[in-house]
Amino acid sequence: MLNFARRTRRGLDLVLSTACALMMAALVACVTWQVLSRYVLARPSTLTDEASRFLLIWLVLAAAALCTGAKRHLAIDLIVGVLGARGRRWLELYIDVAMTGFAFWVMLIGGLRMMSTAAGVGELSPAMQLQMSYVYAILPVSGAAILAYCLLSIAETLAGATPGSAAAAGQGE
Amino acid sequence: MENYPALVLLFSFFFLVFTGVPIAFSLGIAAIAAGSMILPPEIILTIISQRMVSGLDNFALLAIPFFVLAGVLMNHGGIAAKLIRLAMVLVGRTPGSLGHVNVVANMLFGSISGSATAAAAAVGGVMSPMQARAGFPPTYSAAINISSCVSGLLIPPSNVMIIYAVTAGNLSIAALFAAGYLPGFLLGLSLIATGFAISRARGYGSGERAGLGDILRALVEAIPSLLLIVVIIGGILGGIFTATEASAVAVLYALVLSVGIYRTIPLKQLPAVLVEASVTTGIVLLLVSMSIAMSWVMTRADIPQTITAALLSISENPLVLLLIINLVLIVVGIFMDMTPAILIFTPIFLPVATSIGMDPLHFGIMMIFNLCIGLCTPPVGIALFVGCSVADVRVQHVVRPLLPFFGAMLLALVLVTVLPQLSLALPEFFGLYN
Amino acid sequence: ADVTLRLAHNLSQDHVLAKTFEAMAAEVEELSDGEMHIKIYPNGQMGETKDVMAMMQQGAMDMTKGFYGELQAYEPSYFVFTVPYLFQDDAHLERVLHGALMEKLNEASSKKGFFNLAGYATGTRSFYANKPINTPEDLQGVKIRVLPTPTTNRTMELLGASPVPIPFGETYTAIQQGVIDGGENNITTYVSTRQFEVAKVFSEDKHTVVVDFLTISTKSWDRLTDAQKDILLTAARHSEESAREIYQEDVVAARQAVLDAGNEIVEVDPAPFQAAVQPLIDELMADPAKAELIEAVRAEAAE
Ligand code: NA
Ligand code: NA
Repeated sequence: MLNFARRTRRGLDLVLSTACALMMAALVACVTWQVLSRYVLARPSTLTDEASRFLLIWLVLAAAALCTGAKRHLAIDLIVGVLGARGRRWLELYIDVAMTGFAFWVMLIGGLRMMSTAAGVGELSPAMQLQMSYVYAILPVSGAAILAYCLLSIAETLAGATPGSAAAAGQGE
Repeated sequence: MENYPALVLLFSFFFLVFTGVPIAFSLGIAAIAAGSMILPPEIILTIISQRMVSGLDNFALLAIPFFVLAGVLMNHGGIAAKLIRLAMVLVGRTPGSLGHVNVVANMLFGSISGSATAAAAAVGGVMSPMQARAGFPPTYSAAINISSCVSGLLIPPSNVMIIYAVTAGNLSIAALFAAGYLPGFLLGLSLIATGFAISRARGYGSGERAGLGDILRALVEAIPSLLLIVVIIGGILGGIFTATEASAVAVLYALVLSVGIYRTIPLKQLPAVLVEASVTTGIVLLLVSMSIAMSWVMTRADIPQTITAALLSISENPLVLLLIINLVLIVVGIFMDMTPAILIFTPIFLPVATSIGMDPLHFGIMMIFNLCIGLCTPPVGIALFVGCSVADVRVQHVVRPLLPFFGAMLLALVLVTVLPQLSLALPEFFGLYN
Repeated sequence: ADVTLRLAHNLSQDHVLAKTFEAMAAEVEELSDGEMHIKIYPNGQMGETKDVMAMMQQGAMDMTKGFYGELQAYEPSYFVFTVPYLFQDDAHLERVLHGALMEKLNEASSKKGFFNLAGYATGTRSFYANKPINTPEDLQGVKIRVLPTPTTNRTMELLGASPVPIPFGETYTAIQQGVIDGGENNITTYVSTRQFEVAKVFSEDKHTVVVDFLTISTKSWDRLTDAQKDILLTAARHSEESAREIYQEDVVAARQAVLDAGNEIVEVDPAPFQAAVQPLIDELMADPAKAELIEAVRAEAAE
């Protein structure tokens, strides 16, 4: 059981961190090209602005999932210090349940609803004429990943393992 | 009945935050709780997910991942180390001198980029390792970086000033820009004075005594790193790229230097660097998107109007009114991001301010100054979050080191409020306003 | 029964339509003996228009100031309002806004969850920069801030300008610092965004019209009683008239403000611009669906 959890977590970490690294590199390329094309081309690129905004949305939500897995989100953990080991496990469970609820209802369900509304009316982006439902798709994807991390963490806590994973792949420090 | 969403919002948010739920998720869940009181739950779920996405759909936000990435590259690539060496020999042994460098760098950088968060990411990313090496506690240097990064919103050019001028209607942006200089410098100076006093009392680190030879050697070695600053500032002022685009150019320059020329970062290590920058970006911008979702619920539930109406009915005395306005804005700044706060409160407060004889220019500067303080205050403040993330310190640990700097900022705010000339002298002198 | 309609728009409160909507809300209140309310959220407090439209589809907002740029995302036919030099003058545009074509557009939009109660013509878009733009030659390589859509991009390309997509809020500093050379909009927006402080010459080539709408969600509309629908329609129709009047006053004031600032307003002969964009018209006419819409607009032109 714990072995399975560890493998799943490593797989998710790998997929998300690879995606983040690629998107970050693409973002740099995109905005650099936006500047260059103004001087190199007579007709500068008008798509890079929109492309980079959409890439940013994807990057942030993918990275947010990665941070959830690595327990890197900013939090004020004042009461953890005053609790005993048992209390800490209960607190850990409560926090994971709260995040699970948000990831499920807002990011997964709300995100899917938003996607289906946009797809239903065929909402297009102004510059690239891209289906907006593709842009919104990252929300349920990220929600599902956060959900998975939280459920893994809950399973680990219940099984009595040390909560939290090793820092996400690529985290040297 | 009217006040229930406000109470639910406040109570649920504080409960969640203080029981250790990550701040971003606390914001989101509190927004659902309050939103469910004004709209059916299935609608509020979709709206919050939509606000999360469209809050991120903003080109100016790109400055955050890019400056964070540039900072990581500069630190791993030894570019920062060369700047550190130079700063150490230049500032000499004045108490807390690296802290003053941090404030001045933020004033310069923020002035040009017009973004507090970009300044906090760019300057803090480079300065915090420097200050750690000089013996500053990381929480203290984070506190300096956080409180000073907002000065660029007052020192022009500044996008929030444009938003205020356009929202207020028929206000000259050029005049507003001129009005920001003195209050912006006042803010910076008050922080430097505070830092000086604290550093002297606690014996906080400074640079080292150095001879002319040391200084020259450090200068020559730092030239390629200094050129980065020249490229960025020159490129923006020369109209080659916008402040947001400059952040991508900074990444490119740091990349060429550290991977290509110095070869201090092997290509193999690049993915790890990209992931490290992505993680910081994810932490900070998830908070931004959640706080935008929360602002929507507050607006839709008429929370700002309800609170304001109740408070403004207390008194008609101009000084009391000004005090109330400032208090409301500070409380609002604790929860709301700057742009929605300006959009919502300008129409509410500006008529009140002008009715007691306050100049719209003066009012705008006071409001922006006030909301700047809100950006650094816990539990919600984007400058606070970026500053903590780049310095890798916990939010609750910077609260105490931040307190004296808040004191200085509040004192400066009082001066800006009661001395209209601080705001109006320059625009009048340059004939931009009468 | 009491009903409150929530109207969110992205205009500052001194904009023509912001003032118009205030008056309309008062009229609705009066006509319904205080039973119908319109609550207005100005300044983009609730989000950009595209976000508000998504909220309207969910039933979380009722009305917005629709703009063809955003309406196009849902119903491509709105591109007709972006075709350069298609409308002869304000009267022509007004006829289209109250004619058969508009009914067709509204019918199509209704399927996507909203339609327009009123249409407002607020002048034409022209170029502004720090030099006069008398002919397309003057635009060669000039960096102009645009809202990128396929039609506007092609228009700029044919005119020789370099279209740069700069966010609305960054346009002022981008012109000031020289990242871009200018923008294009109607004269009232040129003044209200204060961009006249940094771009000193307004060249009236009048390449496209500016149209805004009062857009309502079909869900909210269906919720109203027949009497309430009548009241809203009456107030909406009056709002078109008052918008026209306020706009005329605002144009006079804006022109005065521009001249007072020492700026120049240049009269431009549109003929060479019209000739330059002809290939775009030809391309659009090659698509039967688009040709039909363009012909429908032309049919409303004066003899
Ligand atoms: Na600035
Ligand atoms: Na705050």
